[in-house]
Amino acid sequence: MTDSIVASDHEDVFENLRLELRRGCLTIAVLGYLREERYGYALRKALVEGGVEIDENTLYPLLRRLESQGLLTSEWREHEKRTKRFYRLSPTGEQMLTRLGAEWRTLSKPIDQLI
Amino acid sequence: MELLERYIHAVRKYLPWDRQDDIAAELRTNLQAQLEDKESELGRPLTDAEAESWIRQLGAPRRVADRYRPARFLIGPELYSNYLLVLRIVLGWTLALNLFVGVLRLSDGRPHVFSPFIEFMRQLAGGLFESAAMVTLIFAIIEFVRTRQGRVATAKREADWSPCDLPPLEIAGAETQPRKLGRVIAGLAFGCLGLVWLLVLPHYPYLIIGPGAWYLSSSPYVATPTLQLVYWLIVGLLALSIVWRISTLVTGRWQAKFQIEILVFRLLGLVPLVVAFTAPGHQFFQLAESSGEPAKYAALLPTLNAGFSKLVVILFAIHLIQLIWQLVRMAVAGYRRRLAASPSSVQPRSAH
Repeated sequence: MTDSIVASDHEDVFENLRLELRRGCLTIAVLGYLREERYGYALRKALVEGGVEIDENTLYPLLRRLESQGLLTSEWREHEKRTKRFYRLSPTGEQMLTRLGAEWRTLSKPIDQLI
Repeated sequence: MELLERYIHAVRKYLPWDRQDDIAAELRTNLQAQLEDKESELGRPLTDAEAESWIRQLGAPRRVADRYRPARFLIGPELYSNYLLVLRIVLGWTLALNLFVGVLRLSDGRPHVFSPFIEFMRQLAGGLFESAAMVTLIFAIIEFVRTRQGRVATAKREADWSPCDLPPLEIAGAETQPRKLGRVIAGLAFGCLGLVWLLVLPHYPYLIIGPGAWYLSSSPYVATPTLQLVYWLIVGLLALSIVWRISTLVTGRWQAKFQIEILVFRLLGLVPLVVAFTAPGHQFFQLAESSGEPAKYAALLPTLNAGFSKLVVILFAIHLIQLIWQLVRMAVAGYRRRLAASPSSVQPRSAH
């Protein structure tokens, strides 16, 4: 009984740490994929096909947040007989992606060596 | 698909009001595209069961809508430690004042709707609740204003802090530092002097009221047996504390500060106060048999007893507050020790 509670606590801790680790990585991935204009669902498909699993409830609010931070621009446009909201990296987003990429490389190399 | 429309409608209700339509429209196009993909993979429309399973997988409407809101706090992490500090101070003062007022009311002898103790507890609980609610409300307003105005001012204040502003260590360390021999001996000497002073006081009242003792020698009032008992209890208590101090000196334990020792002496100190507090009819003085004009002095007696009774009540309340404070400190120290010994103490703090 106690062992199963401890195991469940550890599982919660792992889940929290995993989410924290993924949060920043997903932002970089989304910014990277939006160098090319995409709408929400198409972006999700591209991410999944590229090996980055992300669910709708994470991706769609993230797009809104990045847009409100000025990193993305968006517009409603007709596509395949439907009006869709297309997102694209803004010039500020481009700069931010370059800086985040440099940060990623600085961190990933020593951590790769460590683990 | 009707089920999808119902789902989007339900999500929309929980979305931020100023972006409801926009977000709901975008969600609709994305989910419709996803649905079309699924149907083209299957080569047929989804069955009702499949549609229900898919929509269930998307998540509960309120949870989905919540993701579009920024993180909200009644009191955010930056204010939380200040909130706890102020709450502790305010609740401490509320407890102290309520105890003080409660003891005064208990001693006034007036009838109460409930029993005096229940009445007191009811008022105490109400006072604590109101204080906590008021502090929480004020901090929630501060958090709201901060969120609206941005956190620039706070960030600047925090960037301007200086290590020189840190409080001195004496306050935190005084409890744990060992006693000094000089202080222990001085304490013992003053204790002995106090005991001698108390013992000779009835015979030389000028030690307490100076030249006024001349009037006391011809006073028409004498102490009641209760007051005399209180006096001897105080003398006994002081003698006991002297014996204890001497024993710690003899056994070499004088450096240690025992919290339990402080607590025991506070509890014992309560005994004479309880005896005085529960004195029959709050009578501490009575007419001396030899007093002339008994009618005149008897008229003044209630005023004298009432004044002394008030003094007893104030001393009783102060001592009770000190005792509760000591108990709280011991409980907190015990809790911290247990927490430090527990393996879970190394786990990170959860978000507020």
